[in-house]
This record gives sequence, C-alpha cells and structure tokens, in this order.
Amino acid sequence: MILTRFDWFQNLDLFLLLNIYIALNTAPLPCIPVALVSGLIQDAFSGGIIGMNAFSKTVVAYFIAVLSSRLMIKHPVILMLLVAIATTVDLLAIHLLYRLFSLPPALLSYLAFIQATVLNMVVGVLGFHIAERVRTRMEYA
Amino acid sequence: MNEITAEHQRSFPIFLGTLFLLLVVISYQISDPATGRSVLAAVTFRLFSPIQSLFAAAANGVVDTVQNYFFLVNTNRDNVRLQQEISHLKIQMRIAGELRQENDRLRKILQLSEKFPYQLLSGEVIARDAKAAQSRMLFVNRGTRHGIETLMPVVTPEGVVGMTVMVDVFSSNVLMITDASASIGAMLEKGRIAGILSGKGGASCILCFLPLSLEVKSGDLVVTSGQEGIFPENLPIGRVIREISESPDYRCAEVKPFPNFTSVSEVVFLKLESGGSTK
Repeated sequence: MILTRFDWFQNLDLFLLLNIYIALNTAPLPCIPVALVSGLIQDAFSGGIIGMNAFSKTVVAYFIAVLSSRLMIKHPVILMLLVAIATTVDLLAIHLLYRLFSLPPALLSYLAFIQATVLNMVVGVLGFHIAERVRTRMEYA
Repeated sequence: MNEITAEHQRSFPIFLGTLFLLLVVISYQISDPATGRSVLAAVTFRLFSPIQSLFAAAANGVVDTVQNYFFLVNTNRDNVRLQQEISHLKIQMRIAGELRQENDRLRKILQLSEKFPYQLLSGEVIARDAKAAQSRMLFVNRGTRHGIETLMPVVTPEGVVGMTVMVDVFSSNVLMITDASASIGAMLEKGRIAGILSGKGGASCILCFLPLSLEVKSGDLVVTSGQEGIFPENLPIGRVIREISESPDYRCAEVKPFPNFTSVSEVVFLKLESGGSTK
C-alpha cells in the first residue's frame, strides 16, 4: 500500500529479492518450493494468470542456488550484478511465457525495466546486507 | 563437491517437474482464441492425437484381419457349396442331354411307326449277355405285362436288332441277328433276291443262298424279306462288307448290321396289329 503511492516503486519485486536471498543461502532443492509458493502468492495478488510468476521465480531461484553452491557470492558488486541478471531473467521468462501462449506481450518499457533493475539492485543489496547482519547476530546470540 | 553434484542430480528432476506442472496450470487457464478450448486441452489433443491414430490404426488392422478371416471362411464355405451346386448342375445337364437324345430316338421311332401297320412298343436295354465277348443277347425291360410276345421283331431306328426268344412278365430276352443261332429272311435291296441272313457270333452276319448269277458288291443294302413270317418286309438290316465263298452252289456275303449292338440302349418291339401281315 505504501509502495504503490509511488509509481516507480511498483516495479520493485520484493518476492524476487526474497527468492534470491534464500537461493544464495540454501541448497537448490529447498529453493524450489519456496519459489513456487512465493510466485503463486504473487500471482494471486497480481490478478494475472496463476503460475506465471511462480514459473519465473522457480527458474531464477534454482539457477542462483546452483550457482551459489559452487561460487562464493558475497561481494556487493557481484550481488548487484546477480540481482540485475535475476531481474532480467525474471521479466524475460514471463515475457516468453506470454509469447508461448500467444498472449499480448508483457514487456515493460525500457524505462520501467531500468527502474525495476536499479530498484532491485539497490534494495536487494541493502536488504541482503541487513539480513546477513541480523542472521549473524541471531546465530551468535 | 560430490555431495553438491549429487544434490544437483536430485534436485534437477524436481525442478523440471515443477516447471512442467506450472506450465500445465498456466495452459489450463488460457483459452485458444481459434477454438475456444483451453491451451492445455489443445496441447493434449495435439500430443495424443498421433498416438490415438496409431491405436486406432492398430485396432482397425486387427478388426480388418478378423473380418477378412471370417470373410475368407465364409467365402470358402460358399465356394464349397457352389462347387456342389455345379456338380449337381453338371449331372442334371448330362441327364438333360440324355433325355434330349432319347427324345430324338423316340421321335425317329414315332416316324417309324407311321410307316408300318405295327404297334410299336419301346423298351430299354437293361443288360447284355456278359458271357459273350460281344453280346448277342439283350435283356429289355418289357414283358408280357406290356404286350410283348415271343418271336416278336425288335428294331431300332437304324435297323433290325433281333427277335424276342424268351418273355417274362416284366422283361424279355432279345436274340440279336449276330448270334450264331439267329436266322432271318433277308434280301439285297437291289434285285430283291431273297436269301437267309445268319449270325456268325461276332459283330457281322452272313447272307447266304443268293443265286450265283446275282452280282454282290460291297455297300449293297440288305433288308428283311419277310419270308420267315416274323419281320415285316423292307426293314433295313445292314450293308454288304464283302463277298465270301461258303459254297459252290450259291453266293454269300458278309453283312455289317446298322445298329451298334454294343451301345444300343433303346429298342422297339413291333407288335403286329390284328388283321395285319408281315408283307
């Protein structure tokens, strides 16, 4: 509700950031149901076709989980890059699904795409950092 | 690292399965604008229609094979039935042919009856003398019940056969003119000089007691003379084959009878009508 007061905040995908964070910190197998459920919830609240976001989130989360199991992804720049790529893949997956089912294209405008990417990158990195600090404190506590 | 690889190997099929499930869910919600059916229904139909076609082709093949088998069985049964019908028809045709020939013979006999004042009684040969090399006795299916009497002339449309020598109620024995014991009055049709025709026991007869002045040639027609009182006059007997010398006092000639005694199947008895004569 608060975020929708600002138009450019509508392109912020918190569910995507959540799935990225979980994928960075868990194995691929647990990411799948998390991405599935979060995507379905997002579909339910968006009023669109159920399964579209679930599909894209599952794809993004799985591949990030596979990547993070082999690579150490902690540096902020790399994280920002990862979030940018994830945002692109997420939007592209939804667009391809629309194309597959012969639906009207769902591509954002270039400006909206850049807004979404930048927002996800900034909020994502900040959020991941805060979440890591909280998790670390809880572990030591 | 091995654990990670194993983890990835376990999770990848689940990942693909999840994506497939989501695609199914999405396609169920989207309708094909062309048909109005859901995309899921359209894709399912498109995927399974070749398989369905294969099953249908296989099923139709089995059905066709079974039907062809029963068709062949029925065809074979019809074939056997038709073969039997053909056999029956052939037999009927043969009988019809024989009936036609019998009809022709009887017509000739009927024509014969118009020439002589005799009552014609036809009969069928039912047996021949089995002891002889060439039958000289015929057994006919007419007897006293039919008006047959002994010493009754027996002929065919071709010529003289012989005479009855033994008559039963329903059958009679006919002594053929070729029998060695048979003798009838005969003459050459040209000149009309009477002689005696006797059997030789073979397939021909001998006409003897012809005057030496009479010229006998091969092919001369021999007919009955009627002088023995049994046969009417001028019934055809046969033709002269050759002249033979039996005695210095008279001429003789070998005569081949007209009827084929080995194949004769119907004969005619000549019953003299009351008040009639052989002349």
